[in-house]
Amino acid sequence: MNDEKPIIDPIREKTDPMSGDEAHISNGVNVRALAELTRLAISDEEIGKLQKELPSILTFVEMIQSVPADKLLTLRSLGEEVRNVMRADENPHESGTYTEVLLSAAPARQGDRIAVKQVVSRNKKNET
Amino acid sequence: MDISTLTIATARKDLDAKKYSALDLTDAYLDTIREKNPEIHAYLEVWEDSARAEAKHADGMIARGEIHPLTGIPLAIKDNILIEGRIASAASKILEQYRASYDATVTKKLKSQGAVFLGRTNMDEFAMGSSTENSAFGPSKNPIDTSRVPGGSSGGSSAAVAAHMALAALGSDTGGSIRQPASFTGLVGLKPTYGAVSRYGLMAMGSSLDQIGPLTRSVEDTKILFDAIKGNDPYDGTTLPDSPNMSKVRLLTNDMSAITPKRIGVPRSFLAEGTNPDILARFEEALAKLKKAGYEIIDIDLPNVPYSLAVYYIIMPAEVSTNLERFDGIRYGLSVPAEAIRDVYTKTRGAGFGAEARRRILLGAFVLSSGYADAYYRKARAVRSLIRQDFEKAFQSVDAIVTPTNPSPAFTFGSKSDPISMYVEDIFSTPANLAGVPAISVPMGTVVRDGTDLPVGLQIIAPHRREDILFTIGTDIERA
Repeated sequence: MNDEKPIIDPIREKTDPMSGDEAHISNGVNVRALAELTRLAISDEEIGKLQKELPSILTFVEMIQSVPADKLLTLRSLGEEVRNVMRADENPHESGTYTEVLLSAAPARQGDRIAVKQVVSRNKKNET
Repeated sequence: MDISTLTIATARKDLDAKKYSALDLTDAYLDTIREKNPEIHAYLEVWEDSARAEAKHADGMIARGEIHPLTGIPLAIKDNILIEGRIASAASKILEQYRASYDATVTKKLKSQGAVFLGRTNMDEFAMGSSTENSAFGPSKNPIDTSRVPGGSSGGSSAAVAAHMALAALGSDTGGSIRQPASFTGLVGLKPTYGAVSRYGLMAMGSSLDQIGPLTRSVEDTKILFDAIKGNDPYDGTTLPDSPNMSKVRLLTNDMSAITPKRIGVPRSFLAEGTNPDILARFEEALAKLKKAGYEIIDIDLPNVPYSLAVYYIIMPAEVSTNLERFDGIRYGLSVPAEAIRDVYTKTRGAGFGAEARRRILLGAFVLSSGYADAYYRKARAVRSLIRQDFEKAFQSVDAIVTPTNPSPAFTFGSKSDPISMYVEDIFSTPANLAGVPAISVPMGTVVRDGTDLPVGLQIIAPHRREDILFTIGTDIERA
């Protein structure tokens, strides 16, 4: 997504994450900034509702902060729990085999391509 | 035929004995669907014509002696599992018109056995919820009490089987989405070991948690359906290798008692808080039955398991926000036209996702965001390892662990509008997903609410790849 402007909106409005003030870590979530980041058009009314809901959910999940650090495993042992599986890069299917079926699902096509709006703007001033 | 008493196992015998044809059987279920689905709303779409064609095909297989356990068995499929050429919407507006371009591996396996697909079942959007109230197409109702939810997210599947609109169904379970609907409707529901069943063609929700599994009327049926769909799949790198089959090992052992489960652990301190007293009473009765069946009941401690719900509601939304990034209005699904591509993304996603999906995407983006990932996502992963260790330690001294499946029975529509009150539904079911171990819900009697008997489930949890233990203990509970 090359139309990205630098993320300058703080996701937190108030609390400094490094302050160590864990009891209030979930205060001041900037829902509008999150909606921007996740490309979600959300009404002002819903933003207002989420502005209350998200902190209350975060306050609930923050109970994990009470797990003492000395109980936690090292990152190395964490790596063993979930393994990344890579497939060998071999035996590709014949080019074009799935072109039609995949294009038939696309909202807009041009020949054998999915049609999209211009992604990179030539004129910097036109960027939003 | 009386479909109210049928199981896959008994239907198999009847079909093989030519008591009725697969077409007769499918027609009987289609009749019931026509009668009951308008009220229950278990199915989003019913495929009468293709179901009858599949049943005729199954009759041909039976006539030729090509009989598999599921040949001619009418099944319901959750709307997040792909069947080539069929709409698969995950009960979301963003995929309302999406037709699957390929078969899920489980679909392929069922087709090769000659199973019959009756239709696709309702669910919470993208499997996010515990009631089907998050479906973009309206909720399903619990056939036992239509003022109550059938559970979720696989609530259409549970409602279909409970109302005899299918002989069995497939669901998916990320934090309890098969076991809780099974518990709420008096069925058996299995979440297999992580990696036991291929997720190729299952719409991803929480990729480190999701599993496909059966909802059925008996433990035997659950085993039949699980056996049909399990196995290593080159298209899903997270599936486990097909190691020497446990049941084959078992046949080589003369001393059956050496591998029969004997010791069952009960994490009492975890259960006491927040569980309805009458559910605890049914649970104690189930323990007494197990004792009578010869099991030793042992109190165990799972010190980090009480953190499961919090860990789950960090890891799951993180994975949801990542997985749902692919719905951008470009390659498939809903696309809301706009001048700039960025507006295509935001308008499509804003219009296509429902409230709970939006909530979890935002939550997930937050816990993954720079500056907060350490305090939330990485910390949650570390605590998840402790939870996993709790189970590993416990399974050194017990063969299985039991809990109630849920702290309360089926609730009424609209009664859990606060998100956290809905999330608490998953308290006993999320630990198995976080640890990757298999868990089953089997009926353990009923509790009364507003004058109605409501079923409740016993959850049995076993070590990795030991579904056989769940079936053994589950069958003992069924018989007791």
